[in-house]
Amino acid sequence: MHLFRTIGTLTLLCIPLLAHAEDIEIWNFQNGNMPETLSVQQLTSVQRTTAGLAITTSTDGFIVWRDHPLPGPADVITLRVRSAQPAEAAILWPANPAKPDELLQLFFVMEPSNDFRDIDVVVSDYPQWDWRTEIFGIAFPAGTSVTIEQITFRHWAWSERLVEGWKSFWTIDEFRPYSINFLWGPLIATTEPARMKLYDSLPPVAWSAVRLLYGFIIASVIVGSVCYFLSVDKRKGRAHALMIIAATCIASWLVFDLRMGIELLTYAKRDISSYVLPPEHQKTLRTHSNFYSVARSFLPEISRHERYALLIQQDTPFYANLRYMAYPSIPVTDPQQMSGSTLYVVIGRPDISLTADNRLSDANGAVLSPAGRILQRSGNDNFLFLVNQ
Amino acid sequence: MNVFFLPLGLILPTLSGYLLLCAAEGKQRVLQTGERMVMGCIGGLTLTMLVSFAANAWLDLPLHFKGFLTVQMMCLLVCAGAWYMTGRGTLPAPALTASHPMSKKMKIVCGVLGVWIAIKVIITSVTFLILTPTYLDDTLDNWNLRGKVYFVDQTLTLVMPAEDPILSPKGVSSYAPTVPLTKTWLATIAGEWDDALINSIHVVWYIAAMMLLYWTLRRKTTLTWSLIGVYLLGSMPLYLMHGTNPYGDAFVSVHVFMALTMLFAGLTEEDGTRRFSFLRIAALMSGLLTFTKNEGLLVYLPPMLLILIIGLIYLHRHHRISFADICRIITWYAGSLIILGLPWLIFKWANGLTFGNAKPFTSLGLGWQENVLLSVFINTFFEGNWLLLFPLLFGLLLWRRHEAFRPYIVPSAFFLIVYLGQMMLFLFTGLSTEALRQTGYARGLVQMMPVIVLLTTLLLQSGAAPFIRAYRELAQEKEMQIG
Repeated sequence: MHLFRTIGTLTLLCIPLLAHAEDIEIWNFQNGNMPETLSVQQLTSVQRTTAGLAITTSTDGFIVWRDHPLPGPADVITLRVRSAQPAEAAILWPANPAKPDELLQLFFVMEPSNDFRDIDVVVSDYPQWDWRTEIFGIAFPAGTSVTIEQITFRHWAWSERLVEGWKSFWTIDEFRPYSINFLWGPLIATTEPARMKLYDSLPPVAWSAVRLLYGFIIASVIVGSVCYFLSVDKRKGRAHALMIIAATCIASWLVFDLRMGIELLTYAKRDISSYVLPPEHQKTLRTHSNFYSVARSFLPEISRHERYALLIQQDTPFYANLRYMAYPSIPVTDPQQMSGSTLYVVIGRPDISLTADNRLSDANGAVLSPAGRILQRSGNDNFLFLVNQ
Repeated sequence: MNVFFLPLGLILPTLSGYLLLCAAEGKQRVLQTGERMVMGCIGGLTLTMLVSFAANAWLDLPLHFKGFLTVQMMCLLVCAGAWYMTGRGTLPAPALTASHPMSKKMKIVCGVLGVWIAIKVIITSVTFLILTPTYLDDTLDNWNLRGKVYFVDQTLTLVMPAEDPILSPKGVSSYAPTVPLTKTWLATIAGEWDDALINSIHVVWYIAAMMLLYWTLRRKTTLTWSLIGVYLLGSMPLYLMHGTNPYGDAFVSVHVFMALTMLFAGLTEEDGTRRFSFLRIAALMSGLLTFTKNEGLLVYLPPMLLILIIGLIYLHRHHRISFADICRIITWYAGSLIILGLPWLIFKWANGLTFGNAKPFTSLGLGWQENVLLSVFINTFFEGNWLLLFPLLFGLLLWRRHEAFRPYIVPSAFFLIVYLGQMMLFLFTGLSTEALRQTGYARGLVQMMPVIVLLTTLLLQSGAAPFIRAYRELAQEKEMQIG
């Protein structure tokens, strides 16, 4: 009873912590607003517009604010941008305040879009990040055409970090080709953007939640030992100590088992909802999108040919898939050996099109096949091409 | 649905395996009936695929239905003959370890955990093996590809489609063709290549591992601890992934388990007749181990033979076995390895096949490899692959070292020799990529997982007494307070 009263009191005392919300500071560049200390280095054009800060450059360069402290501790920097082309930009800050010209770069990708989109850069994932810096910049590569509407500096309170940590423990990876070799297991992220991208990078930029389980077990040994040493009846004290340790170990194992069991069951659930239940033309599987539906629709024609020229992107796993599915028909991927093929199978190649004289060519204009006709299409990037006999 | 051909494809191999095990047991039964059926299924399948391979490789017997059936019937006849001559045992298997009836609370706990394991296994195996197409790299490039090539060509084709005819055999064709041939056999019965059917065999190996673990533990410990061991194995996430996806490592694991546990049982058996029965089965399983993967021959068989020799010397020194008996046991092992191992080894030699992990073993350089220790440390202790198994195992090996290196010396020594031996390869040779990319290292642990869980459960049981006593004391005190 005494114990429950103590726990209840402590819980009530913690409630005010929950009221402390996320801190947000915004640098808004609309209507020409701008922190005055901006300087521009080697960028072709940087203009203040009503939409925001418009940057167009044919050379690599950067914008930087000097002698301008950031609004406060920032865990996530959110850039709201509209980019005409895909580009890899970088946030800049000095590694050492004594050497302001030696800048660290934290890269982020801007995808092209007609609307403004938020890009979250989780700076707190990197121990090198220093929110106290008075030099802050963004670097752009040549060819960039982007408008920055605003930059938001976001900081999470401890209570929110705990909630995010709890949620990230239960955030599940995807079934990927590496899942047969290892499973990352539960990871801990302390901000929502970090949690949303938890398994996007290899290796993940987050620490393993298993540390917490080891922490609990070590704590149980310490607590158990203290209970034993403080107990009057040593026999009873020993029993309590052993039970605390055993219960913690068993609970840790069961929670971990539950977490990983849910992970594997989630893989199965996703497969069922994305592949098993939908109709054939809507099936997608894991990292392979609609490849299997496309391949199955092409198989009847492929099976009529002993060999077929296969035009796919280099970094896809579809070669192995199609080689297996279509056997005994043999794929040919070496352009120098394709000349004998009467069937060309094009998968995931939006760059391949027909020339005026009905040959296949790529985006550089290189001719890939003799004249023929498209026999069957599946979407824009996948088709069968039959050479004229 | 073609999946229903799976039990059909297992009947004849299981019968052959069952009868051969009876023959190996001789007059003295040592296996429980269910255990013999499961071992017969797994061992019989490998044995009949071995004979199918040999018949095709040396006698040009095609890999079509009649060819497979001929081999299956011949195996059945030979095994039946062996059973008739030596296997009509009259002495029953010894009773399992005595067990107090489980408390109601314990039954509820076992029931809940059992349902949890069943849900995971059923849902993942049905989804990954039957309802979804083949997805993983090694399955597409090796296990299923070879099976399909054998099915279409009706022979053991060594050159894979669209590969260089000289280099290709040194790749995946250097692996024993057991798993692909099993798939070929199943597809042959069904008359077509069906991913759902040929992938479904993988969960059979997984479930077999759990069942064999149960019986092995029952020989040594109570019902409760045997069920705890099965739960531990069923809760291993990466092992479940391998059991419910079409890879070859769970298949290897059950063979490693059968060979080692029979050796363990034989070396620790007091009764001479039962010892011989166990060791004859161990010899048979060791022979079959050579026809699993290259690791079976190069990584797992040598330590088992070393443990066998040392174990026999120890028994001889303590006057528990005669020199003549030692010679007899060595003869069984030698005979089994020659009859079961030589066909595949000669074939490899004759066709220039390699012994590495899809690349020649001799091509590895020597020298300290950076970042391997860190990678291994993270994989073992900080990922979701093995839950908290390895901190538990290493802790128990230290804390219960008396039990680990006395009554349980066989599984302890086997695990440590293999684990530390592989670590040396990862730390000092070009095989380090297998650890850095978390491929070969994790697969090695998958292949030993049933053995590791066996050892962990036995050591856990040996150390649990003070905790159980503490629980009972506190429970009694609480009852008294309530009373």
